[in-house]
Amino acid sequence: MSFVEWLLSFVYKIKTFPLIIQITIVLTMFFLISTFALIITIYTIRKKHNRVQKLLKNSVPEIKKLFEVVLFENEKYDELEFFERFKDIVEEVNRESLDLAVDVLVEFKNEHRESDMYLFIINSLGIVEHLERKFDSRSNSEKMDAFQEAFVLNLNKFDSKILVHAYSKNSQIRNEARNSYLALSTNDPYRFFDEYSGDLTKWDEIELMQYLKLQSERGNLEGLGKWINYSKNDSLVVFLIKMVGYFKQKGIDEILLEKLEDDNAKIRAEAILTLGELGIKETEQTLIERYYTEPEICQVSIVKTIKKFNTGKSLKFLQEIFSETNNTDTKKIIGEAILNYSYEGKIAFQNLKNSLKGFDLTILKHIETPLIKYK
Amino acid sequence: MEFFVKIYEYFIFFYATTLILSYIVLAIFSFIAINRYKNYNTDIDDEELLNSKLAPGISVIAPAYNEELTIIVNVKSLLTLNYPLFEVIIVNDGSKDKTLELLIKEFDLVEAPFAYVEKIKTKPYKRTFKSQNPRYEILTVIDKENGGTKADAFNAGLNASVFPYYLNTDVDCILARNTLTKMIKPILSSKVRVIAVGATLRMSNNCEIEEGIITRVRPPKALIPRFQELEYIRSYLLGKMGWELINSVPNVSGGLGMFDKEIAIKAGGYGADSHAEDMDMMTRMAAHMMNNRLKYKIGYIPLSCCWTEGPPNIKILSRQRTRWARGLFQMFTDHRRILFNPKYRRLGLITFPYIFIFEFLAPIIEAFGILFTIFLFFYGYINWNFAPLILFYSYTFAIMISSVVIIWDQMTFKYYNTTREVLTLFLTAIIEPILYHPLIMFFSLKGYFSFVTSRELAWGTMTRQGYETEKKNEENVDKKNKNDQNPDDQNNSNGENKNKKNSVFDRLKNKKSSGELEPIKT
Repeated sequence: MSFVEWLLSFVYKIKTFPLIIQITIVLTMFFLISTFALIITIYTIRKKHNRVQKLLKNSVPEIKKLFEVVLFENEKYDELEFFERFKDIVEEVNRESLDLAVDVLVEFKNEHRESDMYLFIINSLGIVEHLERKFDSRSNSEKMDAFQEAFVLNLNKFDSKILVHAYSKNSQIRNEARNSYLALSTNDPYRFFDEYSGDLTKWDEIELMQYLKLQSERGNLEGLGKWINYSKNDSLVVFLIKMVGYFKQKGIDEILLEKLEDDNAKIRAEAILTLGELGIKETEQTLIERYYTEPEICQVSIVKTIKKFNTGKSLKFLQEIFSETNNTDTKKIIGEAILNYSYEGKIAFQNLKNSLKGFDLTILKHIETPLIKYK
Repeated sequence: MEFFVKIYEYFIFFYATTLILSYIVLAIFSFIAINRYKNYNTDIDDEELLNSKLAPGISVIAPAYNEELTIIVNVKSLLTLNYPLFEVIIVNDGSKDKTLELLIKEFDLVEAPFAYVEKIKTKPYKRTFKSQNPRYEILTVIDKENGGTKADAFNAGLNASVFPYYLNTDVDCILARNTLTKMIKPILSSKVRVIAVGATLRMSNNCEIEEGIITRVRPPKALIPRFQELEYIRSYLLGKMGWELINSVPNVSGGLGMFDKEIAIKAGGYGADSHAEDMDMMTRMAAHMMNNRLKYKIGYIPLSCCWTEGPPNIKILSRQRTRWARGLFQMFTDHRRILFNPKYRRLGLITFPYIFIFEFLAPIIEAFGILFTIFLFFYGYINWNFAPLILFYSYTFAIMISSVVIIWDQMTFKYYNTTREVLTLFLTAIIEPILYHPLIMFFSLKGYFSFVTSRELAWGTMTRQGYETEKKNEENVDKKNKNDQNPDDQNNSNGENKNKKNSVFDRLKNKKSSGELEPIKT
């Protein structure tokens, strides 16, 4: 009997079985075939992986060596010569090998190894074109890579590419594009500041902050303060106030004082902290007057700001609120402010220690001991 | 009788088929979730986070009870985590061995004045230790009276923590250095409040560990931990990643989970008497959010960030699984109001019923099935033409789903260096349903029985063998190190294990931290 005849007779036989058994046989065969296919897939994945590993093992140290001599040892090549040297190492300059080159450059940048020759390598190998291809790729992970690699390599030549993605239907890509625009655009980096829908995520803040750092290095941070007034998005306003303090932006005292009257306690709290960061000491009395009418988040900000001002004028106030508050976390912050509040503060802290007992005394000892890093 | 047998046959067939279908759906869901994760997360994200002033603080909390064999290596592992702002809190839950003494000696600890606030009630807190060595300034050791459960110790750690997020882990776990950066990312990038994030755990039994850092991952040599490795990958990559797509993750493992501290405290912390503290905590937090009509998300990442020592033999496996089963029973007893309750939406109508029917009831149904098959055998009711086929149907499916999981694992990150190691796992999948599964069923039933008969069950400690850091490396240890070993320790009645521990400690002490160590980066 041939195989075909056997198969046909088997199929005929199956038809005579109860339905449940028929289903079971079909599914069992499906499971068997799938398992076999999966094993082949595992083998294929591993084979590809091993090939890539081999390439990495052989090429990456050589690529690093070549890049290092150009970047840090000032060895001179012309662009064509450098391209040929790179080609000798990787055998073929393609997507895969250019990705390796970008990875090596990103690694150097992340290790803060600075050089004026990065642009030479980028131009010689056509990395801008390579990243443009990644921006145009259908794969979202390629696009995400391109955004980040362009930022790390400090390439701001992708306005048009990013603009396309800034209106993408995919919210993650759209978000990444809008954040990246701040760092990668030459024309109007703040263009998308007022187009954020809903609250910023903490990740948005982290990304925006590093892009702002880049703008700060380029000397393009002047317009930041105005957005505090323009924006209707409270989470963006909170973030921008924080950044104004971080980058020590001057000339926005009026805006900050205005924000002290905002309905949103988070905005008020951040404005208070930024007054401290910018050292606007003339507001100290205003802050003390506000203390009792503000919610806890703002009260904590007021204490931190007074500690930052460190004028020596508010010691009595700090002692007063220390004895009044029942919240241990707030007490720790106030106690720490007293301890670090000039020479008088240290004496007042010791006096407090002598007068207090029990858990309050433990709080003071907790603040004082250098053994506890995070109070 | 025949009618009853018929009903039973149909029940089993549809039960098994529903389970199979659910696995297929979960496999599809997890595929989508893994791809989504891979598309939007890169290693450059880690660098961004590490260099950011806005990275939120994380408290790493690890309870310890009689962990003298591994405590030092594991605490060192926790201290090597790569993150800009974190603290490590070890809660010594009234250990009766030398756990605390070893910690004091190794990390140069002294008692510190610590304003400990009992936000969650625990067994009495005794004292806090901090290190005098600036290298270990982020380490805090809390000493408390034994609470009988890991949950009580976690609560004490929560009370002592200062940061808004915490990572709960076990001291027997070795974490990947980038665990914190990887696990905080879903919290940072979500517009909805993420109350917890989990990641995959694997077995450390055959891995190379140097100074508390995993440097080479291998599947375990011994059969029991290798079965468990496969089981863990299946449970995390297929189960939890699948559930993550529809925001219905049933629990975040007690071995490795990141939580929002504010919500954890508002939900009342860990159930102090719970033996399934992880699932209990997750359920409390989710219920708290739903009771207060707050939107929430539970995240999962497909990366393996944690390596734990798996039970090396059946005896220890039995102890571990009995405790888990008991904990599951306790969980369904404590949170019975959630089961099939529409008020709790997906949790009450999908996740809880699924876990109840396909995890909690499964060992009971299986055991009943075996007994019923024996009965049918004696009464001649077994259809020998088709019975093996039905058995083969379930068996082939089990192998197929394990193969899918191995592929998902390879898709995520290739932890094993060689193809042979991957194929070892596949071979494990072939024998797992025959050798391992019946054991798990038996231990689960034992756990249920123990819960119903209210037998006491102590803190979930597992007899540790300690990390050997590869026997081949031990051969290279200087003779001097051996001679320097404390003679008292060599004469200790703990014998073999103790000596093994000493050699590792001394080697670690003498080894200069060098650039040779290349940690596994996920």
